[in-house]
Amino acid sequence: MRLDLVLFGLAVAALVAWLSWQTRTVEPEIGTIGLAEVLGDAPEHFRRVTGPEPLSFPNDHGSHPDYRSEWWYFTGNFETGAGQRLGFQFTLFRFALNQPQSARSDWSADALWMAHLALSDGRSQRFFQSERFARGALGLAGATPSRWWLRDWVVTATEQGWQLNAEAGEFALDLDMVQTRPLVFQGDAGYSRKGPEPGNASRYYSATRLETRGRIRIDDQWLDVEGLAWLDREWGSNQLSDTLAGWDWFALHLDDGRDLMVYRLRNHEGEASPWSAGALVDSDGGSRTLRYADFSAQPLDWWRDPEGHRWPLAWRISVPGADLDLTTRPVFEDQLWRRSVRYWEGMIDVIDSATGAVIGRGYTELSGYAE
Amino acid sequence: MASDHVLELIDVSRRFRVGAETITILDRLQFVLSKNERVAIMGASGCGKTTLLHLVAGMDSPSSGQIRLADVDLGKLGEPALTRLRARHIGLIFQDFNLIDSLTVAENITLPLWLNRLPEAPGLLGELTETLAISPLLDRLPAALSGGEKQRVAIARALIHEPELILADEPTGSLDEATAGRVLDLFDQVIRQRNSTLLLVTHNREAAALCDKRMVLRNGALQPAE
Amino acid sequence: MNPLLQFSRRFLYRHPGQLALALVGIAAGVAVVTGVALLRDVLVQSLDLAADAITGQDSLRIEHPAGSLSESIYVDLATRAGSPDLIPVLRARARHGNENLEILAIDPLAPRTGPMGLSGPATAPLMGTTDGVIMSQGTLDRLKVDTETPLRVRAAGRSASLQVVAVLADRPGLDQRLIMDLANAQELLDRQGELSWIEAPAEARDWLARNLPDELRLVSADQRRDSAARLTAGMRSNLTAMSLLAFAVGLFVVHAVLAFLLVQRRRQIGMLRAIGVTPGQLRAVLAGEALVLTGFGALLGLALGTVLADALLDLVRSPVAEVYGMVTAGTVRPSASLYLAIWLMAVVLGLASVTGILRSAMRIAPGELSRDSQLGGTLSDRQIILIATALAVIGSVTLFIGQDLPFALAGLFLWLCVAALLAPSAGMALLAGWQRLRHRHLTGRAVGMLRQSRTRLAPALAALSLALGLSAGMAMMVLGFRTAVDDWVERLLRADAYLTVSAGQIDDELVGAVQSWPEVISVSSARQRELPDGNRLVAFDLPAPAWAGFEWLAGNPDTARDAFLAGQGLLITEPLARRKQLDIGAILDFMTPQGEQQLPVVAVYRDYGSDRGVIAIDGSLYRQLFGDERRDSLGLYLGDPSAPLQERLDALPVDATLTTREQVRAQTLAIFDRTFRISWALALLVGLIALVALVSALLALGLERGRDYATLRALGLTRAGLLAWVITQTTALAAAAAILAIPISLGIHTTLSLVIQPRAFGWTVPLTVPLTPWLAMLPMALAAGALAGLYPAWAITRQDPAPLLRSR
Repeated sequence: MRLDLVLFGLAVAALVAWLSWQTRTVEPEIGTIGLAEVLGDAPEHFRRVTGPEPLSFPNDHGSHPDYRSEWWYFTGNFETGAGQRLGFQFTLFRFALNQPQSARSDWSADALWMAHLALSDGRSQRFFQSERFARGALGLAGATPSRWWLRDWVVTATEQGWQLNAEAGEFALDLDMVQTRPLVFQGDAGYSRKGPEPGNASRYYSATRLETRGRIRIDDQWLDVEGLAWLDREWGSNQLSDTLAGWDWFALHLDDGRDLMVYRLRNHEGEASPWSAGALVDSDGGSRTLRYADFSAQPLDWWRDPEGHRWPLAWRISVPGADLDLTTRPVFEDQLWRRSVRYWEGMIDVIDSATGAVIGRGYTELSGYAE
Repeated sequence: MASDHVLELIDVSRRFRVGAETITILDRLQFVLSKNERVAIMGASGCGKTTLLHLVAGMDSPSSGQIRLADVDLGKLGEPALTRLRARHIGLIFQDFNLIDSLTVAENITLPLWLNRLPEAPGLLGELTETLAISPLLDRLPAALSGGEKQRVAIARALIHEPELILADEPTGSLDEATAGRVLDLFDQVIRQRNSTLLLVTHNREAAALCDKRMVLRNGALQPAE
Repeated sequence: MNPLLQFSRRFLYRHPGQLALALVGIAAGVAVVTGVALLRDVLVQSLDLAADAITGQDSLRIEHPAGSLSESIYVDLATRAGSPDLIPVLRARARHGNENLEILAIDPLAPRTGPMGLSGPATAPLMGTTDGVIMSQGTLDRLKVDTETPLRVRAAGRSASLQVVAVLADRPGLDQRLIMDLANAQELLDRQGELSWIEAPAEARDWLARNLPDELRLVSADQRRDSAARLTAGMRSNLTAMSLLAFAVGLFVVHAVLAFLLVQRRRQIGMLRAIGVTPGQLRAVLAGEALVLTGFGALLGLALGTVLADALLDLVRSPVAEVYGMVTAGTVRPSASLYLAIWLMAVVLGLASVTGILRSAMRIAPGELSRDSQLGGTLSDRQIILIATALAVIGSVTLFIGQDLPFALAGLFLWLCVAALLAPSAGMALLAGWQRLRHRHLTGRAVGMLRQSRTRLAPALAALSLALGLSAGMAMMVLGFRTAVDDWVERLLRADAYLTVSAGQIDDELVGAVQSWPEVISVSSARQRELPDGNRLVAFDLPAPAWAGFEWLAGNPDTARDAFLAGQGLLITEPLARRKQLDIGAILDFMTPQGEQQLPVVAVYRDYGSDRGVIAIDGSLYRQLFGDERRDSLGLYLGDPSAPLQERLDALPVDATLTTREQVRAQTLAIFDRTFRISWALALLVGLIALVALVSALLALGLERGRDYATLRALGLTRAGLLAWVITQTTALAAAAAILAIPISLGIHTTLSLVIQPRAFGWTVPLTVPLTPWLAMLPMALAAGALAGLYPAWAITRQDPAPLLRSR
């Protein structure tokens, strides 16, 4: 008997539902870049890194457009006068287009540039991140021997190092970095092999200890900071073979004056590849290359991000030949990049595994865990 | 005031203006109806019987005089109060059956209960419909009833909320003789059973015979019937 | 269940036809209102939807007064410290077949393009090809193209083949847009170094205020919407007026149906009151019925209107592009607030329209048991005349009190109210005349019976005559306007043929080449340019015979011509003169690459080409001021108009096309006809709703008069006779409405042509009275009336007369 009322109710509900469906707005999904895609197969016409070559400076600080990809990679740990821990990352990536644009226009580009700027605030445990893209045209982004930039994020070469100025809404960085040690050429004089194939290699050098002063803005507050930064420079084509799933990278400043960099290339089973390598720099600036057999890195603790991916944030790293048995722990967990590329890049403490004493600071980069 | 006076008319007049003329239908009428009394008012067509009934039911108001129903002066009540008073204290039976077409027989009968937010007196609906012989019709719509059946439903509706006063206006006026006789029998039965107070307006002698007392309305005044 | 609700529910079910008509009436009215409201939004926001989709809501736009800006400005701003997110945009119009499209070229790597889903890897197809475009799924469907085959478009005067490389789902804001990479677009359009504007997010305002070079200006989303609103004001108010009328007619239907439902229950209501139902309870039930009916009908109307809006949009898309240069979105974008506002308006007005009925229901005395009594006429004849006179006076005053369009529309609306008030009495008088003429005849008697039901028929008669009057009046205005436009084009087109090029450009050299053809006596040329302030500048080179093409509305033709040719004066069109209130001698400022220039207005001429208005400047002065030697078209004055020129065309270094005067005229009229398609569509809708009103009124009449019809049948009228009887009645009603529509339409036509057009578009239209609409309307109305009578007639003749006669 009340079927009619039920039907009427249903009709009203159906109409209202249809009308509200009409007013929907759809937020587009932002695509993500699989780094392996960009760093993997490059078309034939790109040059490959196949053996040691002499590097010349300052020219090699500038970009190498013959190669598929290239980056300028700063990380660093700071402290304010009040003891507040801060960490930063600034990376400028260049990815050459497979085919440079040929249109008769100044906008015709040969490369896609991407920049990542991040700030870790140890006190509030906030991780700020900002990503930018630009085309390699009209001077919107580029890298010369003395200037690396993407729009108004700029690194300028100074007499003794580099100056970084970058502003990203919630936060901003003005840093003056002084190079205190000679450049470290990774692998064989900068020829850093990442796999068995010829061309599975990159040109790789670092400025491991940059004494840094400057100021950092969080929201509206400027903080004076002091600390140590690290610069990695790398370029190549096809450097990663497709047997690799990702890597774990560590750049550590030890209180005794030594700098340690190791990276662990991982295959799809999660095991370390024999092409993993590193470098140890003495306090006098002398350095030696570490091969796969010279060190070990084992995950200790895992952190599960809100989407359920697991990230090994604590590690045990030992270099028996240098009498180092270290444990690394993140200053806080969530230093996860959630933009076009998903990776963990964050500031860490370095602990003596034997005594438990903090003996240094550094940065860890973990990639390939969210794919 | 004697509390067994269900209805009291004091000096009630009702005049209508027709063009420039004023016609007096009721003229300083005096009338008292006590509890359990059954009075028939007779008279020729147009003598004012229905006007009198409307006045008593609060559907019309006197030009002068006072009407007291259940000890309440109708003249002092506004329209909503009159409506509520009517709903609670009066059961109405019209000549023309006046069932609500879109309600079933049961719904028609219980309408006054709903209007007065009254619970149904236990067994009353069954008793009334049994007496009036309309039990099998409860789920029907009025359109499916005969004239006699309709009027019996109307009678049940007038009694269901046990009003103090039943007003009936020519309850058999629209029925043929045989049907009218049967309806009157049943009406009589149910009225006596419930000992209801009744004011019946009719020009039908058989209907008037239902009552203890018969009066004639003539020239605007009430006189005892001979 | 509450017995009062049961009372109302069961009753409504017994009259499903009436119920359906009421629903149709309100739904159709609301549908037209919704459709037009959504369409209005699209017209105002179509420019902005794309910006929203790219930059986010309320974006700012950096523009150069000269219309385009150098890309170096973008690079400079984007690399400055603290630079906000800026997106460079190059815009151009394009066509694919008959579809008007817009090329929006951006740098997909610029910030904020993320909302388009273009960030990161999605940019690869745009930048990795030379001809790649991205479009929305809706556009892809509408153009009936796919990602496999090349997309042929015409842009910047040439044909190009593009490739759809990606499709964006659910981005209606980008409908009709082709998203391209800037580099590719600059090459395609041959606009190297150039940007149309720079998009910036709303929060960048402060930074831009500090950093923007002086010559650039910042245009807010509101300003853009305002200018789009101004552009389309005329069209939108026309549509709005039509939609409100449709709604009013829909209300007539609801009113008529609810009034009928009340009359049918008059006796029952009296009875309920006698039993003790209070007026409040009764009002709640009756108002509840109206609420459910209008609420549900309005809901239906919203849904129908949404569908309708897309159909209407199809009708306006090409005229809006042709006339206003705006590419509209492919689909409308309803918002919850708009839906809610229309729904509330419908319900409130629906309830308001039945307050009279409710009040008369409240007046039903308890125990009032008369069956056949009509609802008392709510107004007496004298009251009607009094109110009509008052409205007419207010309407006339409103019409002329201000120079603004809203006044004119309000005045017209008041006059339509007067017509609606008087129509029933006038219609009844007409029927009375008919009855007197044919009083012995069946038709006379049938009509006589109609006159007894005046209150029942009044709303239908008013609705029908208004709808017919409006349709006919619109038609007369459109036809009159069309004649005026035709005359104007005829006069304007002096040259024998017009030359345009599809690839390459018309420059001094080409003009010289054409002039040297022996067939050619002289050559005129025109070059159009949009000025930063939105005005259009046309540079004319006019030989002597071309001057006869102007119809002067102000100024001395001879002195004006001398001043114009000497570069000492400007000619302006009537819309511009009216909009800016410019008289002869007024000084016009306009921006040129050489800075601001000032020249006096020397004459005003008739022009229906642009309601924004046009400034005409001498060609050589233009070339000197703007450094632009291109022409858009050449007019060729030939010794022998039929001289074959194809070989000469082929010899030109450009792809040139000749169009004859007749072809240009035909094209102009074709655009004109497309522009008014939507008016026809709306007039048709209003007419249909009016027919629903008529059907509902006659059905009600049939049910009310069932006893009378039964008596007629009992007296020996055959079924066929009764059918004829009822159809005679409906036809007579329609005829009366059609006759009343004649003066109404004349009034509407006059007001539209003489008052509304000048205020909405800026031009006057010489008044002519085309008779075709009347000639078309009368038979159509009669046919519709007869048709509308079929169902009521069928329903009436189907009734068995015996029970109707017996029951009372």
